[in-house]
Amino acid sequence: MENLIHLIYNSAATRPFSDADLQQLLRAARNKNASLNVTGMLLYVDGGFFQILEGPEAVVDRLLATIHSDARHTRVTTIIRESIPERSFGEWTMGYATVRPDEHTQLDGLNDFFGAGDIMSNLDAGRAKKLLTAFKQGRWRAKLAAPAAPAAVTVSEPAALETVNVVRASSAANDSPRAPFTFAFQPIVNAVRRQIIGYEALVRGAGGEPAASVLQRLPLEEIAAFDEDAHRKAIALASRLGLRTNLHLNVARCATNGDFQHVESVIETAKRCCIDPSKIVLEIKHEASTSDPAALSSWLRTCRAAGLKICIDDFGSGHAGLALLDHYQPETISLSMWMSRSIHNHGPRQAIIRGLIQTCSDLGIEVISKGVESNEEYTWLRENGIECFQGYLLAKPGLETLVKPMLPSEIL
Amino acid sequence: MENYTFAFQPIVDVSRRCCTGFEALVRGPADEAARFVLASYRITQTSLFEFDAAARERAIALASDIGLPKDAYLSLNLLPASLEEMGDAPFESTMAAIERSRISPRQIVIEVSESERIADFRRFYAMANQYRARGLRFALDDFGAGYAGLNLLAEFQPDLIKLDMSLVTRIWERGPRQAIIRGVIRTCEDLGIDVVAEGVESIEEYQWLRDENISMFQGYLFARPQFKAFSDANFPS
Repeated sequence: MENLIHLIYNSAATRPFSDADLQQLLRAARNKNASLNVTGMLLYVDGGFFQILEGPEAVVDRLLATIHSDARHTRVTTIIRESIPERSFGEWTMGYATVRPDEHTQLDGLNDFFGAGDIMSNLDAGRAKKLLTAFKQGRWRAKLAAPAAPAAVTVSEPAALETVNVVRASSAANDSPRAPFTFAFQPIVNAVRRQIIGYEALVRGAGGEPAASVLQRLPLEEIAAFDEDAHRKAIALASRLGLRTNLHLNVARCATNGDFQHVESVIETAKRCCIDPSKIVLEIKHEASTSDPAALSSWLRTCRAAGLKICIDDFGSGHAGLALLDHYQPETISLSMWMSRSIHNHGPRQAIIRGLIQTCSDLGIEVISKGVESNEEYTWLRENGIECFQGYLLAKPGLETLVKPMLPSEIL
Repeated sequence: MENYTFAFQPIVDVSRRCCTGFEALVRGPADEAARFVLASYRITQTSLFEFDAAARERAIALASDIGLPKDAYLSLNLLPASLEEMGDAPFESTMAAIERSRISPRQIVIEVSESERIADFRRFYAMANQYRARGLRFALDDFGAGYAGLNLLAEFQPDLIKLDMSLVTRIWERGPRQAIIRGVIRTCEDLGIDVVAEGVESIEEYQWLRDENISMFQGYLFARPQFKAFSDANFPS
């Protein structure tokens, strides 16, 4: 038995398609699809394609690879790929419609999808029909794209950002008996305001070695004490470097047992170093916390009451999920890396981030996208409402330095 | 493991004023909940998976005997971890039970709980496609309660998502829950996933969810689980 799948994707045309262009495209597609035993339908709206392909798994996957490499469109985003028991478009080598059916009534195979036609009513109530309905409501509509830029160019000229004094600190004093360590600082940028909003302090070995070289040697029972020590040191160093933005500190272990010595130490150090405690953002990773959202949220409330800000780090992984937001609403969340990885051509991730942005905007939670590494990822996230970014694309962490980031060119 | 049966709880579609499906719930002979049924046996990992598959077979036969309506689906639970230990056997036995019954494969919805650990997404995806190729559908149960929700959704798009009761309870007065559900609805619309609200027990919960365009519900407000019958449901005015 052939393994039948359907694959639904959208993409952006790289130039406007005239009716004649579309007819030609469609003719070619129909010939090819008939020989491949592929059926489906194609919609075109103002520079955006939306296509459903049905056929044997291997054939559809090969066809998609060809589709990806077609220069007439770009931003090919797979929305759904799954097995189906039978075809929904068995009669159609490639059904076709545009939003303005009145202009295309002569086209062979045209259906009035957006009118009172019969394609929608003949379709069974499966995924294809639901996605067509979503499309009808304005979802998954790609806009005409500029021709693809040369792939090598990932960062444009630096955009004007708030300037920060770049001061190389004298080597950090080691007032601790542990393996010597220091910090690198990575900027977090609000791309809309074109401002650095904060720096994340990242543990490094005294010679700039990765965090693991310091943390791996740490016994579990010492983590909380290390946190306290490290945070004092990070605040002092940032202060010497002339920090004027927020300072993000990673919490390796949350004291959910009602111990607030750590929080008090952070506040005391900040005040001594002339940093307003409201500029300190504690980043909580899921592995630092507990699986009990109620216990965690109680600790977080205490931190906030003391004047500190909270960022739920790595949101979407581990315990840092939707249930946590029900119990506690932090100032900020940062998206887990998997969410933004190749976001520009991963439909389910796009749908998840759109939903999450909606939730966070309803709750007044700022969303930071970390680990953005390509212009395509950055552009998609910007176009869909993410304002704050951190990642190699903007700036690598600077050892004992507050580096200035570069903003990718805005292709908006 | 003979001493158990099933109760069937309606899942209603208020826009069509009908029962669109029934979830098969394991019950003891005196209406004990599933966990009491399981506690009365000495359960090992293997016997739990065997029970999981055997329960589906039995639920299909029972639903067929008492006449599952042709326009309604039957929701059956599945432990994704059983894949690791049992291979294709649960798939084969479930399909065989469907063939023996008067129920069409298209009337079957497989429910997988969000809180279940799925060790190997690829394998799970391949298994789901095996069922889908035969016309069965998938629901992600308890959505929003566990930890894997968004992660799982990125890898696997079910046909239905069942919003966990913990997100639904007193929704009309809980802002964060409202924001979460609005976001989930948005995601589901984009992915062609239907949303069912579970554990709906008050008219206020129903009204808030209905205003957000949710039309499918399961809960005491509509109907309790029933033995030996596919009962009708109450439809709030």
